[in-house]
Amino acid sequence: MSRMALHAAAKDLSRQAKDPMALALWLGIPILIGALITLAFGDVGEAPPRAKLLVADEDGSFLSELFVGLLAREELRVLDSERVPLDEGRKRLDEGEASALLLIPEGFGQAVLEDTPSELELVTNPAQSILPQIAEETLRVLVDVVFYMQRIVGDDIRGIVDEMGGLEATPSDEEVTRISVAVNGVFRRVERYLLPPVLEADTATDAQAPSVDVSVLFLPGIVLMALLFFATGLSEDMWRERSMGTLRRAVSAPGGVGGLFAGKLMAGVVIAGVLALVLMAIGTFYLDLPWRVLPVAVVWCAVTGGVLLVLMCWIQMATRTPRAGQILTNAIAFPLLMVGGSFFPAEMMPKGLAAVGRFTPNGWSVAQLKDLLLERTAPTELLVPLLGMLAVGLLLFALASRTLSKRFARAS
Amino acid sequence: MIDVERLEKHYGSFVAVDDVSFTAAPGEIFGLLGPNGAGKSTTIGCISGLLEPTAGRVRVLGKDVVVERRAAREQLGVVPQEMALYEDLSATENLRFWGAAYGLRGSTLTTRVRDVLATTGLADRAKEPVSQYSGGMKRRINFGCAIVHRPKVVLLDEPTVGVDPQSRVRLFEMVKTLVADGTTVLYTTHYMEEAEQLCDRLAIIDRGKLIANGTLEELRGQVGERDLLQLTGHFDAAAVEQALGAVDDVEVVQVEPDALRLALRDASSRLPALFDALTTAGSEIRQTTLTEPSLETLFIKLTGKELRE
Ligand SMILES: Nc1ncnc2c1ncn2[C@@H]1O[C@H](COP(=O)(O)OP(=O)(O)O)[C@@H](O)[C@H]1O
Ligand SMILES: [Mg+2]
Repeated sequence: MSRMALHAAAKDLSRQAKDPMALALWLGIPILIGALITLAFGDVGEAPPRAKLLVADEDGSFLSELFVGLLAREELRVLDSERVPLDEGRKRLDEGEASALLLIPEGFGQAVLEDTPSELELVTNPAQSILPQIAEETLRVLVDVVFYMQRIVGDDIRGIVDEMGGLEATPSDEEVTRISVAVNGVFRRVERYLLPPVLEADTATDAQAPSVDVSVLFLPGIVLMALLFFATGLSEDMWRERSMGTLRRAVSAPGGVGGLFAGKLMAGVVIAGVLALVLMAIGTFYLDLPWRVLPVAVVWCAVTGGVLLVLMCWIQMATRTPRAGQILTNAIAFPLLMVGGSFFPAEMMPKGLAAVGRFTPNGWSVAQLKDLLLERTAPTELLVPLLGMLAVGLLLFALASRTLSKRFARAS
Repeated sequence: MIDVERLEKHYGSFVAVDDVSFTAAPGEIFGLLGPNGAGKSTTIGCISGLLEPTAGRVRVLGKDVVVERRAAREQLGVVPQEMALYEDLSATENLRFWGAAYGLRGSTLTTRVRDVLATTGLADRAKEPVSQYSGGMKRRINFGCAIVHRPKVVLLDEPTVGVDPQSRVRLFEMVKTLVADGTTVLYTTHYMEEAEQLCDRLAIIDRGKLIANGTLEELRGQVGERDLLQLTGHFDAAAVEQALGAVDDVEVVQVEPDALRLALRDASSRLPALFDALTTAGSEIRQTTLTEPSLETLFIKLTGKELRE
């Protein structure tokens, strides 16, 4: 089986090499989002004056909370935001106590989801000139981020929110399917937004000198996003191999279909390593991170990618059609991305959500990676978690191979 | 050498292969002839290890395919009915991978791959991705992938379905080369001309059961020297039986209200007399088909239906 695995790995790598678009997509989306984030928390100077921003959240939706949470981040050093009731805010602004008052109108979250115009109202202190401007600029960029994110994934979030509104204690299969279909749309739309070069031109001018702190928090999540895209994408190859008939042929070869599967995972680890290397190198360069942790970080990511891949392959094999497999893996990947810190780092998420996120495989991996990058843990300390992850991976492999050779590979 | 002993394969309560036994010897092409759904692929699947037999025993070169899986598989080459190729890889890459999967390495692998490319006639397009091949070319490379490792036993499952004449000739040549080298070949098909042309020995399978088994001569002997006459129109069973009882050497194979099948010698010269007898018996004849003795007639005789339905 081991020799079969090596040949199968080589075979899958050369197949992957013939499909560079997939690689570009797995890399492109995270890079795009990374660029947007860098923009949002971009160059703000060395020791900027802090603008006092009062925030009146009349909406109180999940999205507005998220938005207020972003503003309240310590890393966003330009702003010192404080939540206030609306009338108190107006009063304090009048008294000259703050640079600006941000009013998040009721229905803001809904409006964002529905892609209808919704005005964030910023009342500035006429007595000050620069500070309100900083507040305004920062807000504008943040709004852009929210806007683009909504552009990319909005329909799907909307669909999910709609669905969840009607959800009882346990969602029916049909509801799960509908949510899954909605989630599935994300990936196709993301593809669409990668294409216009307009965005790239926009970001190129501004992304020159990114800040250090906040973007570092985003980096591990972004790498894991690429790995999850890769794992869901490549796991579809199980169905391709089945429809091409190669799985059946492998069943009657001496190395067996287990060898073929092991090879696919080995190839996956290599690909995940390459993806991680590219993203981490870009990140290390722009964010001025220590280069010496890079090799360990890449190994960590490669193994994470392998584990995610075997998990996704197993899920694919549990479904009855390629379409169902695609929907289910995407439906699992998307929430994992959300709570696992790929869209917003755990530090910016509501506490409860962040706590859940740490127990997702990707969220856990993100946390370890972040500690490594910020040098909160020494590379050697990752050895035990790494071995643990390998053990989990092997267990998953054993289970998935069983499904594969007993059932999945034999079906026509 | 393939030894199939009282093989059964059930899908739930459905019996796809029912008590099938046959032996295919080295250096011979053993044909498994039967219509679609007869159980040919299921039988092949049980031999190749793709399917678990419900009952019975299969041995390849004396090795039980269930008990000594690996040993049995190493000597086996399987040409599946459906294509089993990496469409995104070239012929060479496919052959190299499957050769390696059967344990070939280094220069042996390279030589074998080159040989197979030559015998399949694909050498000049070996670098192209398989997805760009015609149906016939895919069939050839599908065959090639099963024989890179020079197996002693080759299973071919309807390898000529949807194939252009040129590829078909090439595939036949490849099969004949294999047996000339002493390989045991099991060849399934629903084309009886193919079976007649290619196979040394044959089993006919229908609805999971073997209904005939022997050399081509033995099977032809079962039909006798008689032609098969098929008539459509309007027939009364009792009247027909009675009328034809008086005519020498005519066997009523099957009689239905709208169809009649007869086996008889020298049919063409005796048609007028037959028609007379039938019309006198109140039959109405609309169409007649005369078939010379063949596997087709044997199949019809045994099952009461045509092979290609
Ligand atoms: N996985 C399966 N489940 C249920 N029935 C099956 C399955 N595979 C094949 N069959 C049935 O078994 C019979 C034999 O099929 P098969 O061996 O493919 O026939 P052939 O190859 O002679 O055309 C068919 O009636 C087919 O529908
Ligand atoms: Mg078949």
